[in-house]
Amino acid sequence: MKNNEMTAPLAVKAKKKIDRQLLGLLIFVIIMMVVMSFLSPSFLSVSNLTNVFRQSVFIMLLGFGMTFVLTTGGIDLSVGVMLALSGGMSGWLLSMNVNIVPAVIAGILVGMLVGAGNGLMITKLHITPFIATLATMSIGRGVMYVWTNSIPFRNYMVGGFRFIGQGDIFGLQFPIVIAIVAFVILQFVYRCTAFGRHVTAYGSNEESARVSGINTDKLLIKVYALSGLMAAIAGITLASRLETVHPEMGKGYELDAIAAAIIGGTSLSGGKGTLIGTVLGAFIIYLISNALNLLNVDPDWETIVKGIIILIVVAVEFLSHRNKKD
Amino acid sequence: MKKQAVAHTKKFDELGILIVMIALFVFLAIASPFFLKVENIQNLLLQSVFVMLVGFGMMFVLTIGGIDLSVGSILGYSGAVTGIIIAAGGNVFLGILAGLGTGAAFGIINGLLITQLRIAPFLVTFAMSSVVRGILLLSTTNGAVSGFAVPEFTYLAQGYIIGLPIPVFITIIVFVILLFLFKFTSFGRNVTAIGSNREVAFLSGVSCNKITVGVYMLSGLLAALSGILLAARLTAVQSEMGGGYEMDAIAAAVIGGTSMAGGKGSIIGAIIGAVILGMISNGLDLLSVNQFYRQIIVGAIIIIAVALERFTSLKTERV
Amino acid sequence: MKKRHFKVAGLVLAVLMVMTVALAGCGNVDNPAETPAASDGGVGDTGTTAAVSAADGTWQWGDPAWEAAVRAKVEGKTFKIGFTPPAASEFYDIIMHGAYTMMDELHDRFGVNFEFEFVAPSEHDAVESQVSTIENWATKEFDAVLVCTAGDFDSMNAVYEKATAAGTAVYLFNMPAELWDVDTIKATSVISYDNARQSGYLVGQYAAEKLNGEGKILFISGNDGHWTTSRREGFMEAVSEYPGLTIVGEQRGEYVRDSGMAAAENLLQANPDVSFIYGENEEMAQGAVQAVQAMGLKMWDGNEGIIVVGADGLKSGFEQIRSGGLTATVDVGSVDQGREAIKAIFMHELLGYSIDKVINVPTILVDKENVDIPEAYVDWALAAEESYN
Repeated sequence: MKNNEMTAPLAVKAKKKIDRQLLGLLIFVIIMMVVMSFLSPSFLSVSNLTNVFRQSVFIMLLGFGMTFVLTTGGIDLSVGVMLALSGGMSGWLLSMNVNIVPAVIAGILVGMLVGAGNGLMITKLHITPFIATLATMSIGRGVMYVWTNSIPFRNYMVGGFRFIGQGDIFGLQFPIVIAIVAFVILQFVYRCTAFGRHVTAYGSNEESARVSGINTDKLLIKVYALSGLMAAIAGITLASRLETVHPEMGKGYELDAIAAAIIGGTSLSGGKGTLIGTVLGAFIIYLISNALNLLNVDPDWETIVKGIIILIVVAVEFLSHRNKKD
Repeated sequence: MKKQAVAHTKKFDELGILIVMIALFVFLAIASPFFLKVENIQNLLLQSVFVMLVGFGMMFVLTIGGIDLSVGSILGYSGAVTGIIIAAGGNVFLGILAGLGTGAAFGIINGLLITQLRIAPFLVTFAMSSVVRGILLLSTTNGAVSGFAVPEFTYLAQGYIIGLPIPVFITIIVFVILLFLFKFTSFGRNVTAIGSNREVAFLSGVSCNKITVGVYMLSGLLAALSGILLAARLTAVQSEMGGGYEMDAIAAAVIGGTSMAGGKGSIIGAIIGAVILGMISNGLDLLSVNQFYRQIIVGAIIIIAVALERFTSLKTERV
Repeated sequence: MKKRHFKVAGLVLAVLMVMTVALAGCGNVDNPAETPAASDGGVGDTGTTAAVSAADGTWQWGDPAWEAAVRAKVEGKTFKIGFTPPAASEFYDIIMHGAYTMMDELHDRFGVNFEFEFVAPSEHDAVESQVSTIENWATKEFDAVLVCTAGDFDSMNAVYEKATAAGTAVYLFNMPAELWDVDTIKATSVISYDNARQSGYLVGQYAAEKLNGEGKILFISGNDGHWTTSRREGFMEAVSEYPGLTIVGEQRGEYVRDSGMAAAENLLQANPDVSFIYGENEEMAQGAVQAVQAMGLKMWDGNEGIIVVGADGLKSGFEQIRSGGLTATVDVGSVDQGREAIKAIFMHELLGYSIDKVINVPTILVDKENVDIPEAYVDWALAAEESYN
């Protein structure tokens, strides 16, 4: 995958393609909303849509980190488990009456450290990202079981902590605020900082990035630590939202996060990513299951329909892209 | 440049991981009095081959630079198709053929979506796994598929030939065929060529689309074979059968030295990878390791195995 | 404050119960007058006295002559038992502790030793890995294995036969034996409860009673599988007896809180006027409660609001019931399942008594009124030491 040489004009083309893809996604969301508003009266309400957005926040946050990771040409399968470890750390400390500030900071540190560990394995031990993060996933899940002894952490809810997952600011649920803030900051980092440019450069062509003097090891470690950081934020928010940290918390989230990023137009082979696409991707995943739930579709059918819709979303983007070319 | 290096080290590629496997084997033989029992070795092989078969297909897919997340679902549904036909009184061979056909058909659909619509393999197969799992859920709404345990069929998984469980026997035959296919045919060479550099392969006249569809078909077919054997072993097919197999298969292939980035694969490596995974879980049972520490140990062993492999292969490369 | 008070009460109760049992255990030899129910920890016995009937006349725990005879037969023997639930979870932890209490008791009374091993697959539905585990235990010459699995009945029968043939007896626990023809069960015995009659049906009845037979119901189910099938069957049967009760939505919550919560949120958007939510386990039910609260809807206060009922009988569930976070749940006799399973193995494998193919333990619908009783029992079991791992 990394052998794809992406020259400058190609990169420009790729950017244009991303914009079209975003347009395609937006059109899809709008069509879906119109159709659904006829089918179910409760779909197009503010409360329903904010609900869907709130449900998608956790995948979205993981997806942000994943977008960076995928842009480097890597993958991070351990986000679900980092989410659990961080949420677990905060919850566990709170249940021992530690003040909320150190508890949250400790949770975030856990995520970043595990993420940096992934980065170290990948760069220093030369283990492929897939295997390194798969191993972390297995180890982390094991740690969750040893740590909780299979009994979920609970009874850690204090007022301030409850606010993170359940409070609101100006009528906006706080998890949504977190996602928006994270998006704005990361969008800036991705587009306007040297770090962001290096990530794209590395993903487009590892060799030339190295030659041009980028410390690639450091870069990768930072990227995986960022993924851990996002997982930690998601995990702490989820711990506050669910009021309990189950050892299985976040299981399977990694695939949804990857799907969100890719639906949004981030490439699995690296060099190309878009955070706004990830926002839309995560939103669409939850919008689909919300719509199917509201229509009371048989849960067996839900699995099929979800898969087909994801295919349609991506295929429609491709076809519209081709038509324009013709 | 890179390609040359790959060709050069090919002969020694599996050495590092082979050493890891042998070390693990020796360790378990010493640590547990039950490990070398005939039944245990039979069990161990039997427990490994289902992932191994899927891993073979995955190895081809990874080598061409793709990924196939739908193998677990295809495995489940193909087994169900075979089961349904046999349960309805159909001929066993017909049932098996239909199951294999189902797997191959889904593989072809994967391949066509990837090549014709140019959607990322990850997404196509991720969505396909959802679709196929859904179809399986629908065909098991009234409970698991069962009632197909006629002796001719269950013999496939429960019988023995010269002390080897039949699935192991079948896997060996499949291995020989695939090894030939991978090493000595233009198909195999083209798979590697496309994975190393699609552009170059295309320009040198390789019909990339055909080969890609072929690879996904092969992956579907092998998943189906594994599913049918698993159905014969379990004598019932549940909606969740094969769940998570894609990860094990990928892990088996990658531990065995197949590159996630394409262009480099090893069938023998996939075997060793699957056996290592099988030995880990068998060993953990035999050594009565505390439940909660198991996943930690599995993860640690994967890291050690791959890091060791990297270390030794770098060394041989220098020699 | 109130919560803590109850907690202390629970603890005291637990300590008292442990002491009673311990005292009963020691004192029995000199005091044969002790009633069998009291000597056996009380609540757990109803299932077995009927099921495990002695082939040659009557027996009682605490009868010194019987105890001496049994001790002579089993003292110093070591019995190896494997325990494999479909997942490592709080629920199966309670069952395991129930098993510890009985092993402790048997060890103290009769001098028999146990080796106990626990393995759960890392994926809930990883049937193949459980099959492998059972095979590996048979290789290790275990005397008996206790199995609870998401695996299909037919598919597991093959490995049960294989293990039994290798000399390892197979006992099932927490499995819906009511779904199967008893003669086709290849395990020695199933120690469980009737998921339809003793769980789903109870919830349906509770709904009818609290809603006076009128109202809309949401159903959040777990992964498709035999437990869901059976519980749904019982629930639907009870609901169908009241034409005023309608089920307006059903979605899967995969037995976990976040999925249960999302399913409930989505269903409540379409049906904000429901009065009853049945979450098929407590994690999903608590997720539903959080969805209800997040949407600003009112939980049941004894007269009005949305009733949310789960099933399991976990510590967290009991705590939530006390604080009004969950209306009710079904305690499916987890402690007794562990105890009776060990007892059945002991009676059949070591002493040669015949046992019934299906041994169902008592279950109870728990709400604020009666939460003390099942909670104290679970607390008592959880206090047992994990001395066999």
